[in-house]
Amino acid sequence: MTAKAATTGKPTPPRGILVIGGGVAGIQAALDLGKAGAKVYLVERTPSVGGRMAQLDKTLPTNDCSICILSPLLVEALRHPNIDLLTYAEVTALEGTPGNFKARVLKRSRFVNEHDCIGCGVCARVCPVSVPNEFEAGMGDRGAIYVPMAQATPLIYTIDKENCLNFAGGTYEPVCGKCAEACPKKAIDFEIENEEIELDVASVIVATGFDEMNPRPIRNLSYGDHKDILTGLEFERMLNAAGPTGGRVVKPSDGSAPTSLAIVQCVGSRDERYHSYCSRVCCVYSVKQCIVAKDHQPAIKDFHYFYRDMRAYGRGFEEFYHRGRDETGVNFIKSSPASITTGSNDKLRVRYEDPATARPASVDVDLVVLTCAMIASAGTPELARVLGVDVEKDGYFKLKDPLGDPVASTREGVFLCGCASGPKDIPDSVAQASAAGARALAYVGEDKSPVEEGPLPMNDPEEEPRIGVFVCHCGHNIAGVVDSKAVAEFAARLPGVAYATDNLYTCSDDTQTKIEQIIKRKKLNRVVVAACTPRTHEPLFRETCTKAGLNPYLFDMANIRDQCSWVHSDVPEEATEKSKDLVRMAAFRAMNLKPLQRKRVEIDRSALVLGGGISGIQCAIDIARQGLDVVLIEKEPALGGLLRNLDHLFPSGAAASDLLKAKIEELESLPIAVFKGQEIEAVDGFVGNFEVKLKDRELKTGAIILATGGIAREPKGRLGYDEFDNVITSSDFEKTLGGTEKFNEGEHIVFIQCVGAREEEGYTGCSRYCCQVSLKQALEAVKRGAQATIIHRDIRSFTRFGEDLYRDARNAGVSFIRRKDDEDVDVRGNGRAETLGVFDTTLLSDVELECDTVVLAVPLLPSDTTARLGEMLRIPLGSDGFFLEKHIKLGPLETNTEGIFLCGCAQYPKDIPDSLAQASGVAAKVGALLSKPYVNLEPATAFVRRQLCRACGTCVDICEYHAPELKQDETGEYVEINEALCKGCGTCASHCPTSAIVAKHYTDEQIESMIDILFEK
Amino acid sequence: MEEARSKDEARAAEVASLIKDTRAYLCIDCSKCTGSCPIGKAGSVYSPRLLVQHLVLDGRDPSETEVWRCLTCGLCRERCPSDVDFPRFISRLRATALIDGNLPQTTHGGTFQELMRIQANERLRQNKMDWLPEWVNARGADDLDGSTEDVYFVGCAPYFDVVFADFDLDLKGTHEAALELLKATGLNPVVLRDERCCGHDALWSGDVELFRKLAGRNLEMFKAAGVKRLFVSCPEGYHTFAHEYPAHLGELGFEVINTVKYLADNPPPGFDMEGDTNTGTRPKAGGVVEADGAGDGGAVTCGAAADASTRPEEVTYHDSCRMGRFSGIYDEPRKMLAMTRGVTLKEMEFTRAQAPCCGSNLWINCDSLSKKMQMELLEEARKTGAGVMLTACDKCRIHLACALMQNGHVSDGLKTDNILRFLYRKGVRKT
Repeated sequence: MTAKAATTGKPTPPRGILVIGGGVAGIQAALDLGKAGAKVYLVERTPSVGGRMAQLDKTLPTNDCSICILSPLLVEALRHPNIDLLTYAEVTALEGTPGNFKARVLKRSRFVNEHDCIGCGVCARVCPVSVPNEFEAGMGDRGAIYVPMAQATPLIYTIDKENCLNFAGGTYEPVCGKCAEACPKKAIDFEIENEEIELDVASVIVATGFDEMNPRPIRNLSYGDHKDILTGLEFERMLNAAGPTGGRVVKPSDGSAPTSLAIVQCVGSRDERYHSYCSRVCCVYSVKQCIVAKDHQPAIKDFHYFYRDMRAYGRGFEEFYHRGRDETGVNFIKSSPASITTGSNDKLRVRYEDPATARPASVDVDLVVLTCAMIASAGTPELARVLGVDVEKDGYFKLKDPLGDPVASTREGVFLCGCASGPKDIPDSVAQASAAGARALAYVGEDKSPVEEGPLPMNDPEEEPRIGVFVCHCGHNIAGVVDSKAVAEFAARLPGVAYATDNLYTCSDDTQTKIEQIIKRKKLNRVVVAACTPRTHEPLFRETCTKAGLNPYLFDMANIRDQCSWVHSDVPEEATEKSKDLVRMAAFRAMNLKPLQRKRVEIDRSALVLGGGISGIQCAIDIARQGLDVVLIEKEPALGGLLRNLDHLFPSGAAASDLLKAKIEELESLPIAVFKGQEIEAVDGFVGNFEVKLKDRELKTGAIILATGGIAREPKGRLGYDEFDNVITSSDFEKTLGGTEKFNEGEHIVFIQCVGAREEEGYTGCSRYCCQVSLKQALEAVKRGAQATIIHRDIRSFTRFGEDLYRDARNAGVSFIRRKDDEDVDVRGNGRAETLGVFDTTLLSDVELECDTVVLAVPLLPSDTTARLGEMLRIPLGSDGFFLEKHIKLGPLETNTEGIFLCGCAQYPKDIPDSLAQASGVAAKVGALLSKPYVNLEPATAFVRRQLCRACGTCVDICEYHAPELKQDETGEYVEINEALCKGCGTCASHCPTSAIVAKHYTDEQIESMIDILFEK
Repeated sequence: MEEARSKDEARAAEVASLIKDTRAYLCIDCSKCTGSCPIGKAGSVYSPRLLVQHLVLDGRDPSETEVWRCLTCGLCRERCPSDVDFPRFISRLRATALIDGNLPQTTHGGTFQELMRIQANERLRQNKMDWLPEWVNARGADDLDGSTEDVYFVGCAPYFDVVFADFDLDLKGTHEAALELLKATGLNPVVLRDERCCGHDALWSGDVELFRKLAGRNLEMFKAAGVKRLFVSCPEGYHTFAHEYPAHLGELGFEVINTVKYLADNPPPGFDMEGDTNTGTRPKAGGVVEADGAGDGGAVTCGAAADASTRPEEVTYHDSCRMGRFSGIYDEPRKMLAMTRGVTLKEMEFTRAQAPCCGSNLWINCDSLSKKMQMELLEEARKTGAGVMLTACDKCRIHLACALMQNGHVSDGLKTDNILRFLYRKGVRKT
């Protein structure tokens, strides 16, 4: 593809990809596809993209602000030349065949001219109508003309015809007109009609998300009868600093501060009368809500958290759950409340069974949060009809093959991702979104035009500084503590500052346009933003500078949110003073900044997949299908990895060997070079230009994918495993199930869960898949005549159809014993394990079981090559020993090293569908990376001033990335830094004894200017 | 010896099948039942969860008292996320308890149990219908010719009136009202003088054999009469005929109709949905209760215009277990009240499927806990400010009257009434 295609007008638009739904999954899919060069039409039903994630307060377990990490993606999607955002629009028809669909989209009229609206909000202030704001989960109000949230993308106001006085009779009749009068741009026009457009699309991605179930029909929980009973989403809005209460936790009935809180899990989920599936995210998000609530409202002394099974299965979730218990003091009660009634003193009475005594009990609390089922998004059946795809009986879009293909719908060319196909958390949705992107991309063929990245604008560094300062309110987030206006006024008086202002949301789309205009108009040659963290927002502002013709390295940020409004929230005046200091320092640094130019390097448009398990195979297939060269390396003599240890698979009951065979056949049908029995011996190079050394050859590749899987832990020294032959692991038992042999009548097989997982020491996390494995095995054993008992701590059957499996196992007569968290099972015997002793927390008594076989469900550990590879590739490992992803929520497929990706169990234990989704997702990322024959290198790197270097080698020893290299020529020894490997971290510069090394963009001069000015007064 | 073994085997088979039939295996140990149980609420301990888990996990039966303690009110089942049928679970265990010689503590000297057994006698002829309105065609067992298509089933009310004469409840009046109301819709149902006890109490007490005998006698008689439609007002009787007879004895060959439901579908003259010019507190279109049946605790104004000078009478309605949770009849009584002139329904906090238990059932195990539940239910009714608490179940009325009477007098003027009696008085007789 050439640059020409992207720039030459619009003769015939290329076949694009239709993405339906603008939540985090839809946005992620659109961005991957746009970067890979495909034309994307993103259709969103509401006036703004952002979806559910935009409504959330924090994301767990890091407690990052949800909108803060999402917003840059929204803006990126809006600005991406390959992405058309069609908001306030719906798909009304899809005809044609895969590769050649014609889609019709109805763009509903906003009655606001999209090109003229500047998002100033004057209209909304004069609108006399007040209706509940959907974005605030009904907790706050909006007018009939509105934007759902401050970061609305695009920031265009919309008149909601249902509630506007001018449409009271259904058709337009001028009654009010206040907004039109007030609009400074005369953008409001009640005569604008709906527009229908037709699009040529090659494939479709459905990312329509979920709704929260209304718990009103569950009458014993009294939602709707008492104002102080909230749903999870309502409470999330209440916790949000930009929400209806400004983040204050109050009793809605009287606005007073609650001192006690009850959380009720599984409201309408795991309940056959409503939704029998597990909603998958609630257990842990409620822990987060407790932690945040305690932070926002220290008056809350008691948190009563009612649950059935604590499903903390993701990375860091188990530890997060313990944090809730140990640090916030959440009282976790394994009991589902029977009813909520009026208690004494205006409190709510929660009745439940005390699990410790099996006696009825009750507690009076101020506030109750019901974590309600996630249900298929409203309109799913209609959209399914339009698209010609099926839905499951539980209401979600149906996957054609939930086991072997986590994104294909029942119609070819239409793919599902995120919560459209069932409840999911953010990282799983994001991984699936990329996966759907990879699959959809295969239908586009050559209709791709990646966005070319030319050289950066360069400015004269010697020009008199003209600094522009933009101080952010971040709604209430900063301005609730820091006087942002005063900071801006202060900045305006600083030397070199030509312009200073404050903005409600500096990161919002309209503000970017404004900044761009101001840079041009005021001829600014330095820009400082005082807002949040450069970690999430620097790329956005740099892009804005670039657009305005300013070199992006002439930009600096002061983090007045984390470092001022957050950490000094109780002393606003001092926080404001500190903000001024930070802005002053940033402005002085800005004066000393130098423009930098990025370097373009050619890349090898091929990928190397490490690991030939199901993830590696799928990843290689999906990369090859994009027409890229792929090499697959497997250290064992045969492909298949962990899947080779499995017999039959849940939920379809298909044979593992059949799935593997089909995937290997597909792999072999494609031009993929497979090397078995090989391992990487050394790696050199950088993104786009890796050199990989195998035993007998060297390979060049542009990207490396780690699909190295894991190995089951050997339960040495545990539960009689060393002593008794009949104590085996799940994988051993899977082999027993390999045939079709019956068990002896009444033969008792006892499964023990969490052997070596979820423990205080060592492996603290949950291994995520073991409950499902034991349920599947126990069910099969019972079907073949055995008796089965599962000894567990929580049954974590959270996966799609996992709850059905649990129910099937119960129904087939599998017994369940819930043991205490801190007490092991006592396995006794003589030569063979004969009896088990355990305290059953259900029956509240010690029980003795006779056993014929004991199956230990052991967690998955990182494969033995992980540590070595981590070191070789400079990929950090988590405390669990698995590779760390780039970002726990939004970057589950990438690593911190550009060009190196992760999928399957190399990241952490996963089941097959989740592994496959990640594998395909990585293929999309690789496709985007390799879409052009070059990459641009980060220019902010370190360089050696040779005249000062004494070749001591300190930098060579300490660099994490192997960038410095000792060299020698006729004049002597010296060090040279490989720009392509250098991350610009500055460690070498700080250690260099002679100050020979300079970290560009963080030079001593620049840093010292900040320190000097700080201590000047 | 052999006999003992086969007895054990039969028992084990019964336990296995009742676990399966009542979905006890599917209990996910969530505890909702225990927290919901009215016995626990009244201050004692009763954990359906534990009883289920014990039987499933270690085969331990409920204790001698536990097996009889359950009121079979079904609130636990209503809230159970796995739909475990605990009332049936316990009643089937009662059958095995009876075999073991573990008998319940009967109330009223066992009078009602005796009465049930007597009614199973083939040659029994009864004289319990002498109060019927004159127009009613009442036929004896020896006078059946297969031509009586619409039959009205009276049930135990005449006997109860004798035993509980002190309470002055006029339970026969329920059936008199029912017959008059049905007549007003244009029907002319026949009453069978020798109808037997429906067997409800025997069944839920675990005496399946007696239940089958009684059911057999009734069905024989219905067949001889040529019944096409059987009208039943008693919620227990209705549920037993409509659901338990087919479940135990197969297809009935005739329709079982709940009187209130029939009246709601075929309102007699004097009941209509027109106009809401009533002086009630909150007019609602047509006076129909919310479509989702949420019953939001507010007042529902009745439809037909009342005499402008009279304030509407405020009533509350108690959903009895067999009428509500077991038969799903919630909207129809409310619809009838909405169609009654000069009446305002004031709902209690917990209604419909969430309604509390009246505290006693099957004429067994009545004690201070029962009384506490009754007093709490009466208190909930009083909170609404209504003067009368209506219900479809006359057994509820007996238990509540007992709780009130033992206080010596009806302290605050709250009365109970059967909804049919009330409707007849308000809508047709206009006294």
